[in-house]
Amino acid sequence: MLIFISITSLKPQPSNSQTQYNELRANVEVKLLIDYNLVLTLNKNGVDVSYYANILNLSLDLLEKAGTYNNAGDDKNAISTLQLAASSLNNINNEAQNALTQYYSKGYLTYISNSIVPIVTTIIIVILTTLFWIIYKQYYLTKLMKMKPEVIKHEI
Amino acid sequence: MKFNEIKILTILVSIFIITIIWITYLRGVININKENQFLAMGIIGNNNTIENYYSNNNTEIKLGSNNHWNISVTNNMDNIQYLDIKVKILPYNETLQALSPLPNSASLSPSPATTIYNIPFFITKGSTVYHNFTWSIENPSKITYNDNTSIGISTIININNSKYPVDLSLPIIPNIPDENNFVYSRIVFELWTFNENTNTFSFVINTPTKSCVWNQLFFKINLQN
Repeated sequence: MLIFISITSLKPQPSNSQTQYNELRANVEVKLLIDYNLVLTLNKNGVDVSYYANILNLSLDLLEKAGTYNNAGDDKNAISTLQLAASSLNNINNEAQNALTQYYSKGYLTYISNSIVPIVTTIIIVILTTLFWIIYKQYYLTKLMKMKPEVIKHEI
Repeated sequence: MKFNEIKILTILVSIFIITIIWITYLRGVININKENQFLAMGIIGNNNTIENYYSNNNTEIKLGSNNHWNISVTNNMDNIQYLDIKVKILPYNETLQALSPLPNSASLSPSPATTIYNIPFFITKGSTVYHNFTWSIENPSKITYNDNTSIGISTIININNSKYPVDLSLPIIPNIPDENNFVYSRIVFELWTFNENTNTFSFVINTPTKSCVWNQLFFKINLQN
């Protein structure tokens, strides 16, 4: 038992700041994917997502920069860079959530109004065609009624 | 024109107009242009041209001297994409036979070689982005294995100011290195897309006809330099 405790205590343990870095990095990576899925949903609904893409790319740059700091042993800068990335991802998460809520409230009405246009146009065309046909038929029948049989005189 | 002919013509014209209206509407709702979706990647050399990739005017890499390339990626998919360019180094012999499997466009499988550098990025639909790719090779040296069945080249690849150690292990073939002490290799760029359903990057691009995108450039290094 004593030997086991001695062996485990000899194993190199990650430092507190390294553990904090690893946890924070995993957290930022999860946030990045959540935000990407949110932005993707917005984009699939026709919303321009250029602004969100820029922030997501900025977060990726910060992740890379944090990795460089971490490899160089600069834990302080690595953690503060990750915190910056987490903060920008939190901001776009809120903004994208709001944009999505707005889209769903406005978007339903837009969808309804967009669907109504072809339906109403079809009804109008059917009515106009029927009207045209009734009027033409009337005109044709009147013309037919006014016709007089032509009398052919036969000279004897 | 006869009465019945006018009747048929009227019905046909109204059906035609209604069809046009509905096609126009449905084009907006259903994406009919799914067949035209693609991702494209190109490697651009020095001076932003598709030539002058190396400073020597041939494929020989001057050790320690930078090669300034740009990687262009175009997104013609429906939506924003999360992409990753994986950079791999693959050796080949002087008869252009690959000594390590290349990516396969027919089976849509990536090269099994180790990725030495990743370029993850987001790209909006309909846009093209350029990524700087400045790289050089430093201090290549031969590694001799005890089993005498393979040789290795240990080198440092410097990409965008970060250093990556690379070991190219090769089976012993008479021409590696060749009589001029050249070692032949290629740099492979694979474009991977993020699949939001599996939460992983995939080499297969999810278009109606599944596809993949990769690119390669040959180079040689002189071990005597």
